[in-house]
Amino acid sequence: MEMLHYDFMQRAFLAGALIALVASALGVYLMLRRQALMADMLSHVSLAGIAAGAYLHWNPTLTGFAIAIVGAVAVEYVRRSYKTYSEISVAIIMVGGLSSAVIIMNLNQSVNKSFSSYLFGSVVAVNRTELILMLAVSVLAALFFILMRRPLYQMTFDEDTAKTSGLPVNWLSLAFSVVTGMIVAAAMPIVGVLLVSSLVVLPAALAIRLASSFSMAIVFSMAFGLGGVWSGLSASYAFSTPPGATIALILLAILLVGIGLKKGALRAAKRKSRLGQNVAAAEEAPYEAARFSSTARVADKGGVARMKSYLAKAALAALAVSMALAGCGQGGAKKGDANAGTDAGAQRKLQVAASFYPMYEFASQVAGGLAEVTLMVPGGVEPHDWEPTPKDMALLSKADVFVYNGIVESWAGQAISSAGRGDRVDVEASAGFETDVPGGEQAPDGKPAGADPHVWLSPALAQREVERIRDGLSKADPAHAADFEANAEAYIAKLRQLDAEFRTALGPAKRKTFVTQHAAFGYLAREYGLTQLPISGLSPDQEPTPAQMASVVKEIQSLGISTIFFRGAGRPEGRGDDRERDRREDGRARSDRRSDEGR
Amino acid sequence: MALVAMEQVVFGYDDVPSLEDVNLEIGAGEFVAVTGPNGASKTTLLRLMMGLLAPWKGKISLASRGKGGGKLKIGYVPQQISAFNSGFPSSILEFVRSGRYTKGSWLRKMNARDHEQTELALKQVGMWHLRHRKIGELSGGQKQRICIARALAMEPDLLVLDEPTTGMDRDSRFGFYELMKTQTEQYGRTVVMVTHGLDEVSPYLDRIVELERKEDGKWRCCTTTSCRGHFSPARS
Repeated sequence: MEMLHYDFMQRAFLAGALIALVASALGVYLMLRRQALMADMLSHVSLAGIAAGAYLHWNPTLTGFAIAIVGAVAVEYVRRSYKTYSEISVAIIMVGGLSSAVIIMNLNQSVNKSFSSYLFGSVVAVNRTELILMLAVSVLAALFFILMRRPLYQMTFDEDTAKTSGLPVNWLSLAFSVVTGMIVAAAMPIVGVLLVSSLVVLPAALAIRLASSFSMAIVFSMAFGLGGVWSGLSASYAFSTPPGATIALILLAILLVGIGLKKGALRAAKRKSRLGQNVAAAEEAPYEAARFSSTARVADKGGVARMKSYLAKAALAALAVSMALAGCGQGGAKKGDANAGTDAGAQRKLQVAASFYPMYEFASQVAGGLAEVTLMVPGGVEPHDWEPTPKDMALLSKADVFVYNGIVESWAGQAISSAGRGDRVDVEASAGFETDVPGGEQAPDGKPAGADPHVWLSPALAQREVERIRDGLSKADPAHAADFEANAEAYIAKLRQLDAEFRTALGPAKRKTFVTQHAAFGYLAREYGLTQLPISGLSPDQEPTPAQMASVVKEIQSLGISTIFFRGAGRPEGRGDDRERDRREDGRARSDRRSDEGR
Repeated sequence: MALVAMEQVVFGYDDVPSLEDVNLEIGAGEFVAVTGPNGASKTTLLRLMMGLLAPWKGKISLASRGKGGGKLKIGYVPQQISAFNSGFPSSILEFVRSGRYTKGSWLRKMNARDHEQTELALKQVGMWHLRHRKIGELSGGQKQRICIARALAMEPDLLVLDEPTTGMDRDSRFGFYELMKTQTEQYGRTVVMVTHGLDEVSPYLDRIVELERKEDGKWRCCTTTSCRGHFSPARS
């Protein structure tokens, strides 16, 4: 299976399996305790913990972990002491956690990991720390669920009778909450908030309906969860869809199909009974006080054998579905391979993966026709909202060079370490340039801005990025170093010309302030002596606070500005020379306007 | 030595006492009924007795050791368990067998005695032949029976039942009383039962504990009537 040759897919399957097994088993208990929302709530709380950790420069994974456990314990205490508020407490903590997370993340002015990546995680870009943590938590959880399965059964059914039978219910319930917090906190960075909830709720919902014993419910749930995750990963590889969402949809499909089949079976049984066939009377026998002689077998062999056969069937089903979908994946991959190194015997072209359009443009210019440059983030998609699919990770694994800007590609760090390949050259084009905060960046509330990644929008700095890329390509393919040098020189000349045009056009401009949708032109502003007035921050999805909006509006009115510039990121055909054209048009528009107004 | 002793216990809800002057003693091997009008906090009394609630004032003591020398085993059959209605997946056999899960036996394999006692309990409540069915499929009365069976399977020292005969038909009720009597006579267990139909059950009882309402509206305990030899048997 080609798919499993990749390191990152192996890790994804392993991490996915661990999470699936542990979360589905947990889910049975949570559903029966009427705490289905717990996982969702703890994920959001964990998010706040991670955000706080990042803001305070502590280890975000550990803070997320700690906060999730605190949240779980808090809910447990509320549930115990204020029985009527137990449902509301979940809502309170969830809203509190999520809102705090957003606000804390906003305090971090830098362009950081996008919110959507927390929703579905990045199971194809699991790093070693996350995997080890998940492994440790899984082992702990497995020990807990196995050793405590009997008291958990009693406690889940009814706490009062559990207490009177001598069970330390308070301790067990607390331990259960802590284990829940740990599982959610470890799983969330890998599979995201929504998928954690899906894994906890969906397989358990079906298993509870189908199983005729508690142990079987747990087994079924784990089988459905595992089958869903592995099929989802295989399908995501085959059809190039985002893995997290694919898994969630497959879990949902399993639930709906399962319920449908069960309903069908019930209807068939009813039909049989109406025809007077074969329905054992469910009537009880009279109370019997006499002492019976023991006819008990040592063990109820029937039940155990039944359960073993169900286990075997469930495992086979999960395996079969995964293999079927993996088979599709193989077909798809073969096609992709055929496109890559075509000529057998001829020299294989340098394979370059470029993160988003400007990087693709620079790399293509430098490479000339000597390399196969592939764009990863499609045109029109925000690079830091994008999540690599397994196919993208495969591309990265096979690439000789990976060109990315840095910071703006929030997925890059994880992807690089996950698609590990010793001899690939990773070019972070803007490394070192963006450490100084450009003076053009306006922060009305005086808050320190983070590193500005928009290096490519300044013709002067773009030249240095091109040089970096040239160096990277030369390192990977020394034979063509001279060609890359020549191509780079030619392109840099064009950039120099653009730089000159900007200077002549903007030099005599009377008004030096321009308004942008988000702070993309900090470097450009600094380069040409302009002042950028951004509405949003460094990242386009950082909402301006009312104070920021008010301040911008005041400036606009006092300066009499009548134009707002925004990057056309929503263009469907984001290829060709559009980017350069945009830049030139922006520049010309500005210079035209200024010369017209003559102020 | 009394198995259960409650001394001057006071308890209530929302700072209003509902039970006062609770003084009673129950000896080992007794079959005791707790009775009183509706709303008389009888369930609360049971829960105080078992340690599920802590009294505001007074002392509650339970024998610390059971008959086998180990910790006192309490089999509790509450009036209703909501978990039955939420699709809890379990077979009757698994459910009743869970009565055997005590603190010491969480990890060891179920042995012959466990299976024996489970089977015995199920046969005593007449549900053995239905043991593989899911507990969700049962009627109300059957659910009651398996809860009783689960308590019996534990081999309890003290059986506490809260209105166990609600909804039982006449024959079942008498069968049940006989079963409870066997528990005390043959096994030496103590049975405390909240019930209403005193006339029917008193021939089987050792004592009746009655809650009555005093002039100030609070429930007081307890007129304790000894039943031995005071009523003519009214068995059918």
